Amino acid sequence: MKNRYEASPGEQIKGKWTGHVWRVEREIGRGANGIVYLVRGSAGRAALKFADSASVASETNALTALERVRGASPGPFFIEADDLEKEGAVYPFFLMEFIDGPMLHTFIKGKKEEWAIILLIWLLTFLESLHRLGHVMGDLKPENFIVVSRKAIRAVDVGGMTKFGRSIKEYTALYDRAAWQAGTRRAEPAYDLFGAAVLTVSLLHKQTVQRVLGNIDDLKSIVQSSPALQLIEPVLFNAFAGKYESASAMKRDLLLCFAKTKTRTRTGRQKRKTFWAGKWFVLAGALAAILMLFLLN
Amino acid sequence: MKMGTMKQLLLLTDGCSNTGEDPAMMAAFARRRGITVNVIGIVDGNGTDPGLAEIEAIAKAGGGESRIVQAAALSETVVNVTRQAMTGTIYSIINEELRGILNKEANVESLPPATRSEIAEKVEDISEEAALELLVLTDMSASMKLKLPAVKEALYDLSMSMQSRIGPSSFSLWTFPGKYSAAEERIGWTNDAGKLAESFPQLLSGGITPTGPAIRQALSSFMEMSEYDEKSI
Repeated sequence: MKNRYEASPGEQIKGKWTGHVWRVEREIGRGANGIVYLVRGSAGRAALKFADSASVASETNALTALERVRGASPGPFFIEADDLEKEGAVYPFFLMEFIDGPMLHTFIKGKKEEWAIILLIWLLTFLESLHRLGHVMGDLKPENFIVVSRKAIRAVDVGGMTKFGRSIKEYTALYDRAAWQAGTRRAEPAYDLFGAAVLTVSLLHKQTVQRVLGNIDDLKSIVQSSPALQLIEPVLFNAFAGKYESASAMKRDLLLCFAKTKTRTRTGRQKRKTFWAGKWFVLAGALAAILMLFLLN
Repeated sequence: MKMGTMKQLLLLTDGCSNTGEDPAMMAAFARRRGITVNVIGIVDGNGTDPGLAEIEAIAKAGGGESRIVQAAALSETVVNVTRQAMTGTIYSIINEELRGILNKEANVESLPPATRSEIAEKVEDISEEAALELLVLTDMSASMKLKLPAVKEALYDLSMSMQSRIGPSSFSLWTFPGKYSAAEERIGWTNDAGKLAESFPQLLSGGITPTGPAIRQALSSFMEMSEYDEKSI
């Protein structure tokens, strides 16, 4: 990519428009669109992203759109956009809140497989609030999400965020509905829900999913042969088929399905396993009950 | 801002042209007629092919984007290049307007970031809603043999993204060398992007690589189309 600026730790980056100075601590991310650094300014720590002018402008718009969500924003807060001028060249960048925590695939490492289901529930909560704004996430790769301490998921890269009805701006083939020949690339809630379902499967079986990319039947057999994913098989299959129109509908089904499997698993598996799994079934059952109460109201 | 039709020619090739006019010159000619020329160079190995300089020169002269990729990465590149070329076209029109209002050096980057964000929003609206004419010109010379499945897949992928746009789009597929001429029309202008991949030919043409003449011939297709438009009005 042209016009890419490489900063080194300790370097001071001075904004041309604001005059603010940011000290680079370390690189925290790098993708096709730009490089992200952890920096420290007079106001504290922040994440600074260098990208081309058009991406900076469009990500600024996406981040400010997210801030319309009441309460905690599902994405990082936007701080400011600026330019670095060096040797006659201009390098646009912007600053956002630094969200600390593990990415989805790092979070699940070494944990029980059932955690993938919990992550899906949190992801659907995230998508619910994003869809309410009339946007889809688009690029549902695990690197784009961080698990924050309050048991929730926040997005750290919103480059793929697209308004309903348009064509998805940025995507990763593995989580892309069109690449699986399961629908269009039009921005609608079902596009994200498909991606969320594939993400859940690939959190546990990334290599296998990658190998069968494009063949939805093979993807389904991966689900069927995984003890953890079997529990929520109908929900995943519905999402693959585009049957859910909203994240809340999928979440409701997921909680019900998760609660139902309780008895079957308790009799079928060894004691030690069920002790841990049982905890989650009780939790999910409780959640489902609360949800049902809420719905009946 | 009102936007006319965005006209793009996407050239997929793996190497050096060896006969006829200089392809960069033909790309410059296209640009003067309001057609952006984008080039994707498909390479085998480490990107030290001798054709690289030509690929960049064509895109530069044609006012478009150029990428050098391995066959495996072709799909996402084709979609990204097409999208970026669309916004690139709109930005270059804005830059021209700015130079008229401000000064000869002005461009969008010389505006404060907040203004740029507002412009970006408008540019996104326009590139999503404006009419698009996209002609894909594919090199089918012998050396492309192993790359054809990747090209077909990339065209399928491109059609998926283009069909999801709001604005009207037309597509056409040309290949070169042709049987009796430099290039040959495989699919005439159609609104059905799906046809690009469906009817992608599996047979190689072999022989020479007349990239320059192929661009010239494919351009005639745009010209005929605009003449047709005028008549129909």
